[in-house]
Amino acid sequence: MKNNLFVVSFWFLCASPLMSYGEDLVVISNPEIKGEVSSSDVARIYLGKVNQFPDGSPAEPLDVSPSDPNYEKFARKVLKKSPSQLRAYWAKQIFTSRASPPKTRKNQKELRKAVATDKRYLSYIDSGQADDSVRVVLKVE
Amino acid sequence: MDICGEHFIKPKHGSLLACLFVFSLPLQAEIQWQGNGFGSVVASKLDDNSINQMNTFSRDTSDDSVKLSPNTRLGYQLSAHFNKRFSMTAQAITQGNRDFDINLDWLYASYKVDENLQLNIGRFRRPTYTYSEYLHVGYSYPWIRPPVEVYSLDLEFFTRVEGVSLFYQRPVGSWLASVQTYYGRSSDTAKLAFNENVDFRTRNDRGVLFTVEKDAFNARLGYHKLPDTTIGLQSSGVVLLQSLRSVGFSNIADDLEIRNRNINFYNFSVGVDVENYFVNAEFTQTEIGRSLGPDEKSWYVTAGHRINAFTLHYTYADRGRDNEYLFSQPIRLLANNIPPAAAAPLLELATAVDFAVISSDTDQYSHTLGLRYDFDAPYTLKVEGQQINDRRLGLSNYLLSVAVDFVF
Repeated sequence: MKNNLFVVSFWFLCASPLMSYGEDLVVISNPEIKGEVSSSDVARIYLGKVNQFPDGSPAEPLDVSPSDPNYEKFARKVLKKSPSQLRAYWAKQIFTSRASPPKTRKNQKELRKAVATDKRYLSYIDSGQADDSVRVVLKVE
Repeated sequence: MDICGEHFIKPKHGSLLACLFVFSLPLQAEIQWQGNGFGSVVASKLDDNSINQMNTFSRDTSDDSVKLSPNTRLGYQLSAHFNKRFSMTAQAITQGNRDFDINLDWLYASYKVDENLQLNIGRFRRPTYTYSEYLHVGYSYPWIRPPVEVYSLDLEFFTRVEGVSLFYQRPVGSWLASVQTYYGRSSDTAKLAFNENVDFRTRNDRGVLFTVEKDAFNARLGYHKLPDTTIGLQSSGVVLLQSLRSVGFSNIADDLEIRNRNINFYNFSVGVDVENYFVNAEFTQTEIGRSLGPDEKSWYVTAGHRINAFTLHYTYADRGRDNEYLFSQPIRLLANNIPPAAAAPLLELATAVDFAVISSDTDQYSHTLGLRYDFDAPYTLKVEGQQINDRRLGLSNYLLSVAVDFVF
């Protein structure tokens, strides 16, 4: 019980805007997804190049909206592209019908909820937003 | 409906399944629609018109007045996703160099056989070169227009294929590899310089291309065979071939004419993109054989550097004839062996043949220095200065272009 209280207060603190500023991102999957998922695996799934986790189960990325500060952080660090490079990339993919940009969710809570309830989904949130309902597959520093 | 009715009493499994499949589509839970657009507004100015006399730029770009270039265009794509596997897509485009008529560049049904394999049936842009499939989507590349030395053919000839294509992509270790192949036909009217139009058609076209990529590296290898190609003649060409046939040089006329000919395209490109530096190179070869259409080699190398919202890039591009056929030689030989008075019209004819061969050809190289500025979310501003050199005419011209590309 004491432990739970600690966890709750910890999440509360992390969720406060002051704490989340400049926080690291984590890439999250459903806890049922096993095995190692590397940064380049994550990039391939986000860029629509593969639609499977390395363990062979189906994968679908979920994103934040491009106006979210995490969008650029993730794009630069994991996808190795600036937001405008990413837009150019999606323009090519869309107009040759190879792939579509990931679907989005309104906020981190919804991203976490979606990943926790559907093992297809892969997403990224502030490290402080991650809890036991999801598996952290990668830390983005 | 008739097709289904015919088999209704005595069903044949294949047709019945196909009918069930088609008619069940509208009943499927949800059709997801996806609409996306792109556009480019391009203005350009050539320092003088001399290079326009005999050059691939003549229709594509500009003249010596500042004007909205024929590269100005607008496109819209609508896709209907019936379920996870089946979708239909249409892409319409209107552009200056086709008099702002509306053309359907893509119109196809797509079926995802499995996670790696996709089958498309309908009309699609031929993947002749690296940027061919999205040549109109200026937002997706650094230049205002991909190097004309390689891409000029793509602007008018053989662009849209009607047929079937298969695309297979999968990871191989830490690499990602794809194979694409297609079979089909094409026919259209190519709009050339001086308001000349020529019809062309191809049959039994086939092509295959391979791509590999890993991290910052990518490469592409393509081969296309158009075994039965016929290209119409401009009015001057029609007169020339008639003259040749009327004086007994039918064999030369037959050689020059592109009728039921085989054309091969070979293409190789490679790109490296590390940190904020990138280098791309593409090499292509076109084989038509003994005809008015020249065998050609063309290539370019681009290097660029991204600095925040700016991309500075430089391109060297080159295109030249790959062989020389002396079409007029038999005419000149004959002219040398007959009295001068009778020889004069033959020599004129020989000159006309030489001129026709030279005009169908391009021998040029260019330097392009450009800047792309991603100034606001889906818009990008591009400025390009280009020096174009025609080797045969010994001319150098400068082309300045400004463009705004956008996606929506």
